Amino acid sequence: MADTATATAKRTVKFIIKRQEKPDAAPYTEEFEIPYRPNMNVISALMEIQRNPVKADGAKTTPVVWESNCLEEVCGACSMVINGKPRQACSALIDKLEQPVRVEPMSTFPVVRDLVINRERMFNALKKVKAWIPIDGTYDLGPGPRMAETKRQWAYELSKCMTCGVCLEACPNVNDRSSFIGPAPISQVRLFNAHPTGEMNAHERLEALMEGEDGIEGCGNSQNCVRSCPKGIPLTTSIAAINRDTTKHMFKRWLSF
Amino acid sequence: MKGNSFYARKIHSLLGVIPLGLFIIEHALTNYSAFEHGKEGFVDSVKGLHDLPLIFFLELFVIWLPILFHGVYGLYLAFTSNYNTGRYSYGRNWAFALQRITGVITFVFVAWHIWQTRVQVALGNTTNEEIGQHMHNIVTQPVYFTIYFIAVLAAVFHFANGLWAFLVAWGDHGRSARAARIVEDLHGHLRDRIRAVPAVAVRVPQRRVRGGADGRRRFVRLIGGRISNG
Repeated sequence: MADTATATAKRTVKFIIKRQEKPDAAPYTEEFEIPYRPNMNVISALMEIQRNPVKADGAKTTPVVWESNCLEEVCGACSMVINGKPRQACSALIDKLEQPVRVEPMSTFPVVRDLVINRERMFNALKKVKAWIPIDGTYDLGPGPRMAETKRQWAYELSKCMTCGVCLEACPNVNDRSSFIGPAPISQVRLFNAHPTGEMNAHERLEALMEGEDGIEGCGNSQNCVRSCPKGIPLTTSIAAINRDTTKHMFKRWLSF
Repeated sequence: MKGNSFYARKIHSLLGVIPLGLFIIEHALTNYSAFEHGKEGFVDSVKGLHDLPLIFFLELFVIWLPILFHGVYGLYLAFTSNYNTGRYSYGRNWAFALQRITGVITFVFVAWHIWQTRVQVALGNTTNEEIGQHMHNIVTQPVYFTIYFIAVLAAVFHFANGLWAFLVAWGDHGRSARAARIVEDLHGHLRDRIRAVPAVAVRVPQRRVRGGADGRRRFVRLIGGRISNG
């Protein structure tokens, strides 16, 4: 047992991390070499750097800052670019990663510090498209219409979205020259429009995607989003479905006056 | 005051198919006449088109104005996109990038093609009656032929992939996968049978008398054509 422990202690994991002191500071990279432990993931590696903030060349540095919560790939907080692809750091297992492990912030979003990004635009997008079921009234509205179990199971797949931002990072049309709202909120419109009570306000959500310059038309069908989504949400199918719904809504508005 | 890009994008998408898609098919059929009947067939087809009534207004509303909007707005769209095929080298992402690249190529090419044809007619260097022969003279020069060949392939890719994007944008969900397959089939046919081959057919006759006929025959066979006797 003791031999195994020393053997694993000698193994190390190399990291190249893109860092940034504050939002408007220039980014730079730092290399780390930390002791290997079985079953470690990128988060536990970052914790090790936090505990002992020493670079690969032995010089002391500040601990790398990151965000994380659930550690089971359901909250979306620890999204970052790992070896070139955006994903959650908690489910990025070191044993399955090529070394050196290159870690960068998802720079489609404003970088707060190091790997911490500001995903506020995604929450604003959910507000814009009214991604909720309005049930408030001045009196008890009673039970809503029932949702078929088969439909509920289907809609559950769309509800897995954790607003992690990976699809926006992968999308070539989400950038500082375009105001495209991104794939995730469009899929949420499909989810809430599928709900029997949410359906009663379907037009509001569709209209939110048809006004301004950040609507559904910003999609260029690169389909990177559906390839990148960690929850396997059929984002491009959602966009196609909402394309159909907004087109129908456009004609309906023209024909009703 | 916030603008609205929903309708602009819808019009952009629609114009790409009607009338620009019809226009590209019309060009393909004209080129195909060179494949069927050689140079004379091509010259006759071009003359037939120019004999259409109200040709000026047809061109103005069916091609100049639509292509101006589609092209200028398309350049803006190409500018507002990032190109990340390095990081995400998926087929559809490549198609996304190529759609924009071929769009720019096609737009520049169309402007140049107009310069070589309609503008030359306007300047009095050629006439509507002679334009078929004029075009034939252009594409029998190796450099121009190469440029036309590349640009025509770019235009056909842009149209075929754009047709698929049109179906997605206008809501043909459910059928989008089948449509993509049909478009890819069409793409193959358009590219190999209708556009490229006639381009070669126009090109080949004059070159036949000079050397390298075997290599040329092999090339023509490779892209599925045959050498015409025009």
